[in-house]
Amino acid sequence: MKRQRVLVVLVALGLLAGACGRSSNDKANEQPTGGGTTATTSAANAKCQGVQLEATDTGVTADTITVQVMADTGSPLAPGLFQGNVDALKGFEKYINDHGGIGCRKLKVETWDSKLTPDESKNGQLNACSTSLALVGGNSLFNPDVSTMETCPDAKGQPTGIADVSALANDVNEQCSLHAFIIQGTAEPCSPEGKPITGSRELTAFVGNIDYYKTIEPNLVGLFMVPGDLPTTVQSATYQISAQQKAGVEWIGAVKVSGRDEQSAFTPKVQQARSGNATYVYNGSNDVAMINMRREAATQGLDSVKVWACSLACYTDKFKAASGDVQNTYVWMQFIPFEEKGSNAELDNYLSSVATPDSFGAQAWMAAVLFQEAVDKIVESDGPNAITRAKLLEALNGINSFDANGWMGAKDPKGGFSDCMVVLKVGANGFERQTPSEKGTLDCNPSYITKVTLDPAAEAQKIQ
Amino acid sequence: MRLKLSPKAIAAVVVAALVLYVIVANWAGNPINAKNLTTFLVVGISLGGIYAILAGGLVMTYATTGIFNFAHASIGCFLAFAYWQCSVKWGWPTLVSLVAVLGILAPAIGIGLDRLIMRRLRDASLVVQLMVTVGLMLSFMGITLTIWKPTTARTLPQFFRDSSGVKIGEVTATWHRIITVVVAIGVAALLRWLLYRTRLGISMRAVVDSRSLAGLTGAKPSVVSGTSWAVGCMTAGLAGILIAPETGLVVENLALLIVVAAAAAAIAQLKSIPWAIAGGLLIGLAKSFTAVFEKFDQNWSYAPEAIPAVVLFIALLFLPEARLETGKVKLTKRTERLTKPWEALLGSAVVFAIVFAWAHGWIPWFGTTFGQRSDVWLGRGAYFMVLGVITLSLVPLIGWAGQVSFANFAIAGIGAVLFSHFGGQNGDPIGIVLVMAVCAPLGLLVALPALRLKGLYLALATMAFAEFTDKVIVRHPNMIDPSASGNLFEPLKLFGFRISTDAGDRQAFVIFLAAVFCLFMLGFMLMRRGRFARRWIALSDSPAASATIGVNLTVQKMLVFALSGAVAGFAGCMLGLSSGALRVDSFPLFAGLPLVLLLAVQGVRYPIAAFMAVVGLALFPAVNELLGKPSWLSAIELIGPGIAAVTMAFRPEGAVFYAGRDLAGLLPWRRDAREEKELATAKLREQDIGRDEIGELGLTRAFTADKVSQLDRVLWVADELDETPLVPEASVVGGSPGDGHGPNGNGRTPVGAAPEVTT
Repeated sequence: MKRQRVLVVLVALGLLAGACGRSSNDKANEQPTGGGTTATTSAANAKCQGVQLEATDTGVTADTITVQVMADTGSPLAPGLFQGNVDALKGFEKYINDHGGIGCRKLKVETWDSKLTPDESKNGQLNACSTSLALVGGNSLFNPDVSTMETCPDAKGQPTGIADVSALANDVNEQCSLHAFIIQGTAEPCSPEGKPITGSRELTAFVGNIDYYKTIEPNLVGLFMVPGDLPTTVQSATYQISAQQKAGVEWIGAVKVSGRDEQSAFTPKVQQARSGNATYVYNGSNDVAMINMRREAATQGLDSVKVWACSLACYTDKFKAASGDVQNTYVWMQFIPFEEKGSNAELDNYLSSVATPDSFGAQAWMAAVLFQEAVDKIVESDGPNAITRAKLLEALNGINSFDANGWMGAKDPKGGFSDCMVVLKVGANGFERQTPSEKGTLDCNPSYITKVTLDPAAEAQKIQ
Repeated sequence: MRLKLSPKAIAAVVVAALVLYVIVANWAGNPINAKNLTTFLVVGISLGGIYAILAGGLVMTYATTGIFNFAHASIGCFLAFAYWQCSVKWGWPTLVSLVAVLGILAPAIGIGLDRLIMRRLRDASLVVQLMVTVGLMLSFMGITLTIWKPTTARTLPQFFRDSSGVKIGEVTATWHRIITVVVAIGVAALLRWLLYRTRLGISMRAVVDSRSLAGLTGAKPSVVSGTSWAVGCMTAGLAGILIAPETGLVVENLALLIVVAAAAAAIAQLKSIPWAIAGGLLIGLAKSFTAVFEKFDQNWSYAPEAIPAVVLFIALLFLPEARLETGKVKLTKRTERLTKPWEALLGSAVVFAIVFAWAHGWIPWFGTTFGQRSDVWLGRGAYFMVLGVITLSLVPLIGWAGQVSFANFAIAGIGAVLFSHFGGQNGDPIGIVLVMAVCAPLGLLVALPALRLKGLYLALATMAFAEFTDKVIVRHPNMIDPSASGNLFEPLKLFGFRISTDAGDRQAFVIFLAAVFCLFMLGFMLMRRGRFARRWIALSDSPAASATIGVNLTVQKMLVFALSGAVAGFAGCMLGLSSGALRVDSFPLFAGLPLVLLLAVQGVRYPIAAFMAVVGLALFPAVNELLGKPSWLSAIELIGPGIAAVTMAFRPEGAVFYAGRDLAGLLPWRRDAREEKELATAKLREQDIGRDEIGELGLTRAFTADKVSQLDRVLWVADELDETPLVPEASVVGGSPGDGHGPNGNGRTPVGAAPEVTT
């Protein structure tokens, strides 16, 4: 039981990883969205006619394809943490089966609670290996040992491993695995063998949001709120600090914060911002830390800050519920927000299939769409009896750009970031779109992605 | 003139020098000007007010009930959520909500706890008292999480949030924070007045000292203890309502404040409410000082989080040395029947056989093949067996020597980390020996407070050690490298076997752990017959008597802590091996509590109880899977362990004892077990008869002088009962019922003091 108080912050960190990006000021392409899963499914379903379906691999029978969603949902102190992932996959299961199934079969979704522990994450891999075609839509924060999913045997006894089409991979080992295909952006470089690189290295970051903030306040003098609960979370902030500096932010300091801190503990941070005449505060921690910081800033009368900014970590109901205290906070993200129902078919499918949508669930749905796209590719090219783990890995490796039918900014599922964003602002009625102005679009530009070279462990030592 | 320094003075100088060194070595360079000083004071006092109000209630509860309530903060958390439900969700006016929560719900909880549970803990051992309140803590956390799902956003606004507060220099103190500090001080004054200036308060303290004597002087013990718990819950609720707007309505944030409250309470030596308030303020100021003036490098960057643990440890350092108690020997302990060597061997063999059969999938329903998840369940089996070894390490320490320790999981954590440096990365078994060799003296380090302190203070000291380990020791980069990723352990190579959590090695891992567990268990059961264990038990039963007969208490305490530490160190190696990767937050204090708790539920004196404890732990995921993961089981999983601990109030000896006695009674040659059960039944029957008699005499009402004659009648009834043996004479060996010379002076041998039956 671990053990779980720090973990909520880690979630924020994971989200923060998604908050990396790159920037440029030219708002070039406004990417229109559209389409949906139904059309793709119909195309693949045409290949099903007259075929005697067979069991082709573990998790694929003549009438069902089984996948497993593994997420941290049952930790005693954080029950339901990533329940959104499970809900999304269950919703997807119903949706896809109501619309003709997948790979000429019905989809069956099994769930696995990784309980915020490496042990149960590894057990989840083992279980998936014995029952499922793939891991889909997962979100397990502590998944450092990926050897099982990389080598477990298929139905023929070959050490094919199993594809991990995950919503978010927090652990660098999972991020780098050649079997992992991830919706959330990843910053870390990996070796060609799929292993993490340590020491000084080149990391990817997204800074498109900084370009937008500079249109509000050209002179961004900032304070970075570092998620301070664990050494790894501190390290994950270092490259963002560096990337934002490269994009033009002048830092007056980086301070460790925690979602567990009392609001009073934010007073010195507010004083620091005041002393440095900060015009910009970026929250790399979770929504609770930002809410406390903003409340304390209001209490202390800090009025020099023009841009309060946060990543997807603040796109939560909790943040929205605190809108009275966090008004005018900017939140940037890389998919079309829920508030714009009707602007994208895939978004609509998700919202109509899930009772309590959240950002984790959204990314899990996107992962399911990616899985579906890969299966459809196999069916279209080799027929429904060609669906095996090996073929699935091959198909997924062949997808170099995925946008969930226009719901999210296109990215390579094998790593890196999308170069698209949408910036929202918390208003009286919740989240309101700022840029791009047109509903249902994303602002995409290759210059939004940048690279920084540093050793996060060494840089972390400089942060108080 | 010869200068004579007391040990306390020396300790004070050393501590002051250390604190000064830490301050100077980590000075951030910020100027000491009015602005920084104001920030430091305003933030420190604001934080301190939060801690003070919680600590004041904790001390008040202890002073008036004699029970250290680990559930104090979690009760406050529950009541804060209830207040949110009334004031925010239902929109009741603030005053009405406060009255509903603090005036009705809180006292109701307090009185309910007293009636249902706490009254049964009066004469219970410290282990039982502590574990029941730990169980309550987990229960209240579970209930809160079940009623108010953490995934839903909730905000509890500060009082007077629309007003600007008071500006002091460049810092603004909100009215809510000012109210918190004022309320903390006001509550302290009020409670002190209540305890020392009112008849009720004096009765409260008197009942703690001697319930029967207080009753004879006109107090109403049952009413008084109920009032104590009601007031305790009201202070907890008040603290929760004032703290929640600062910490957020987050269960873990609120419940974990018990560590800070305990530190502040330790400064007050658990008896002075004003000092508890001062302790809370001191901790708040210390945290504020580090935030404003200090800058710790990466090696010690988490040190500020350990401030409460350090304060707790220092406060315990200055407590007066515990005296050997004389004249307080309670003849309530049951003399244990010793396990014979062949029985120990048989028991260990049966446990090994069960695990062996399970690992091979030979047990229906709960076999490893169940659900076609053999590898998964073997992995879990290995993990639970590791927890079993950690739990087993507590048996000699807590069960025999009576040294309550919450530190063994932390020691195991250190063992896991050390093993990653000492051979774990090469699969070298010599590393295990090295780790055990390090962890044994580590156990001695934990034992240092035990040399001076005892009972509750020792438990708090081990809690401080566990917290310090979690916050500082394992987070040091030299312990766990933050850059390291992936699996830190290679498979262990032993006697030609590969032992790891790789799918192919898991069966061997489980069997290996079962073998080691059974060897430790066998060793402990045999040791229980030897002189070491006898000395440890004597140490627990009566330190004064032990010292009188020449037992060196210091040496014995050190030996038992070292043994326990070494076993925990071994378990740590296995813990690392079973987890593969280590995280710095893998060993929090609260992760170890369930092990102590479940051991106590099963019977802290019995090695087999460690096995039963982990079987209980493993049952949740197993049943969950068997029943198809029903949502209602999640609630039981949250609340269940706490409820299990609460049952200790009713069965203090532990489930293993009662089950063992009943089962042994079925064996033809175990007449002693049957007799013991008869004796216990007779005792209960006797109590019932006594209660009926007293009830008929109306003595449940206030006792006054005119009831003296009725008291005579009660005593006469008791004498009459003495003359009528309730159990067959032959069942009691070594005593003659009715001869007027029994150990309690009334001619009857008490059940708990039944002499050892020769076997």
